[in-house]
Amino acid sequence: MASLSWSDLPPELLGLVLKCLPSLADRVRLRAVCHPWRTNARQQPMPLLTLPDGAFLSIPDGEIIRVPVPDDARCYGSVDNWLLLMQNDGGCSLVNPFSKAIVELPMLSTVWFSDSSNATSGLNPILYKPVVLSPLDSSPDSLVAVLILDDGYCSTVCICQPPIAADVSSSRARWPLQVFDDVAFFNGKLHGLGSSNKLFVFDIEYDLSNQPKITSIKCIIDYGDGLRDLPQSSDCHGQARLYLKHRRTVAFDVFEAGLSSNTSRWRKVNNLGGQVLCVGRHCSKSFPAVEYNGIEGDCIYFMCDYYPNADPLRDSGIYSMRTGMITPLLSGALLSETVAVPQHHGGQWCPTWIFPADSM
Amino acid sequence: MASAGSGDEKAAAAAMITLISSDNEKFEVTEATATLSQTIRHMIEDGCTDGGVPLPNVTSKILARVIEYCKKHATAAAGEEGSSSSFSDAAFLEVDRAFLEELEEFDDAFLEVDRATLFDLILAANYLDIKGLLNLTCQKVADSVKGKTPEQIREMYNIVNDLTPEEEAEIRRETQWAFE
Repeated sequence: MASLSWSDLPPELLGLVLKCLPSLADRVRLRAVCHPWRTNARQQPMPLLTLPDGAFLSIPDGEIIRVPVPDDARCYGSVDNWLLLMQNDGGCSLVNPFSKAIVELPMLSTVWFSDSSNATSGLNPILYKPVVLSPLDSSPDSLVAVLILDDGYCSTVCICQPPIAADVSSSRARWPLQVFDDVAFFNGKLHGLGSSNKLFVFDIEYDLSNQPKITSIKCIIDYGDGLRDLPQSSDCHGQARLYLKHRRTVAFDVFEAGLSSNTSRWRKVNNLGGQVLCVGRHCSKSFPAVEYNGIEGDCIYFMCDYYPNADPLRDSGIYSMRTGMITPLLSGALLSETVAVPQHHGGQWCPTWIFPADSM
Repeated sequence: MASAGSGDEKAAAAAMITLISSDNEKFEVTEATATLSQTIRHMIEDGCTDGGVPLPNVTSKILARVIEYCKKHATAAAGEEGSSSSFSDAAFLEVDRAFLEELEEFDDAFLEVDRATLFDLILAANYLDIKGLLNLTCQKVADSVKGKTPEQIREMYNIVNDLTPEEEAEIRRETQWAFE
């Protein structure tokens, strides 16, 4: 026993130490001590929440993490550990703020205006949500789809083979008009959540010049129950619908898309199969709770991203599907600097989730 | 009468357990103390404690400390059982705040050990499956590295930096923000 050193601490015991370290920065530094600790301390960090001033809020400890990002860039959304950044000149990219890796995207506002029905509408894009076919860390050439909503409540879906915009589909250019509130890749296919809870699947095929094109958009669930509780949010496992009361979230109903039979429909579920779901208009993601020490499964993390320029914590929390209770996102008292919002040069950032990869 | 007396003696004797350290030192402890260790509890349940419980992974020095911890916490558990039917933390707090504070002071003092002893205590707590002690010691390590740089942690725990220059460069590149 005397010959053992601290670097030989068994992985499960190192994991217990990590569990007692709520600060992401502390965990990152612990993993930089020696080779065994780097290999063994593969605990997934908790999700971070972007703040309007461009900092990240660590959950649940409330630590403010500042990672250098281009000064004139503004965050419009995220996917996994990548931020959708837009610069003052309109340049768009997905940036991993931790590894500094960049995937160049087309200028999304230019792409939006390239659709003639959008260009003549007199409106402007206001909300973006990027989704990827494969994780960008391992597949930097993955197909990227971006849902763009405008101030005329219409949606445009842009398919990118970075850095090129390969195809654009505006809801204005289609009849009957079908607006998508949300998109997600599921089973390798792009799905869109439409009004009246209709679920659509996008068929994407590669043309002669090897560019992906949207060949059809088919409705696979025509639910039409008329429920219009907003905002809605989906991830690859289904759909979560919020019920809002007095401008505060009080509960969630979760529906799963039952796609196996020819009579596809939404099924209400009362658990997430032990998963954790972070919902947002600019990014939604679910992950197994077991990988995240200290996080309870069957919980939904939510924050206020549906009022422009609102404090993201104004209506935020963790909703447990097991108990029906909502607990605060942060375990401790909130630092006042989180709410006081200094302007980033690129403008206020959209509140969104970001998930530092365990390879950090 | 005589048979009843011998029965009592037998019960009293059965309530004591002998633990044998790796360096063959014997420790007599009550069953209540010993069963804070889930490992030993299972051995008692399986009836394999006759002639003592050999603990080849724990030295006498560490075992003495572990027993010290278990004795204190077994008393606390007994006090809790005696005065309250509920095991909830809230009820426990109500029952005896003063005792809880005393226990906390004991834990703080207990953790005033050198790094090598702390390491052995973690391994022993894990091997003996003593949840409270394991949490306590891991928390101690976590508290000690909070806000420290990797270099400071290495120095504190006498760890050799065996990262390759490539790995170090990679860490710097990917996690620069955590070192600023």
